[in-house]
Amino acid sequence: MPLNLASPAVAELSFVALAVVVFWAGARAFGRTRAAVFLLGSVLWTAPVENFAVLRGAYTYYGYAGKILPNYPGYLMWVGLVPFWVVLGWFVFAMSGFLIFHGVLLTKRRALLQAAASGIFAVNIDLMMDPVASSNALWVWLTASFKVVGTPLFNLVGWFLLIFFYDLIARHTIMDSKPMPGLSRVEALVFRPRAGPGSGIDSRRLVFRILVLETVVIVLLALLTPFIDYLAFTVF
Amino acid sequence: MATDPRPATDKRSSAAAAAAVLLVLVVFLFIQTMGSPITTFGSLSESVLYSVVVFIPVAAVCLLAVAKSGRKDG
Repeated sequence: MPLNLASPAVAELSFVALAVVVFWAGARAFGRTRAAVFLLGSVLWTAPVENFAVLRGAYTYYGYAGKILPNYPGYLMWVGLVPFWVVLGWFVFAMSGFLIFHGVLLTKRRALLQAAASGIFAVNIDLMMDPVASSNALWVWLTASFKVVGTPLFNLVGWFLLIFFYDLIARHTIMDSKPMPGLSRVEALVFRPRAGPGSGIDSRRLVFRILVLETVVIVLLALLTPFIDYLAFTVF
Repeated sequence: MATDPRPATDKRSSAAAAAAVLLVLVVFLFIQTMGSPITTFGSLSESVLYSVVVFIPVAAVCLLAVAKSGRKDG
């Protein structure tokens, strides 16, 4: 299939525009500082996972490398081996889900339910975005994993886990200052006690939670991928 | 958010703005997906199933968020 050489630029510009609108919405709802921390946190949250997946050979973002200009990698801005617009995309979906489910549709429900709803919502969006992006070579799947509408099944699990956990981190650390179940005991050894609810964003605790849960997600995905593939190929 | 003093109406209208933007994106993606060589569905029932399972829930959530925020604000 011939490549449309305008596609990478259209994707980059579209996601920068989307991120600006969603950032504005987040800033209006939670304040500029919290929205900015949410954005920076989502970059720290997703960029290592994305780079890890690229390094493992699951996919590549170099489908347009050398095709637009001889030494042009296809996209203008990168975070390691991942285009910046992809990282911005994670922010767009994480913040939108947070605004929709925490602010309107599932207010006063349990944080776990809100995070799960946001995760499933993001998976569905990916099921529409991935076929369009991969058929236009915005990214190219290199894996022989079991695919659903052109998208590897483990990728959908990854989408759910990333949005689910980041929603919980944001809820407990950026928007509020609360202990996270499972991490409280470790944090009690590492950090001094919090000043109390509403005492601002504890950036060290945020980075700690991101790094710990990011490791959990990467290990989970690495362990689950062969199992998911085996199960899917056996059943279907 | 218990510790956030911002009015709930700000949060709802912001959510509505984000939902409206997402709705435009998913409608665009849905139209593109239907024409994508990767997802060229073999039968009408496959494309109906895809629409019901994937597209309609996302669009419904976005529409519901816009509608609900508008109703409360009014």
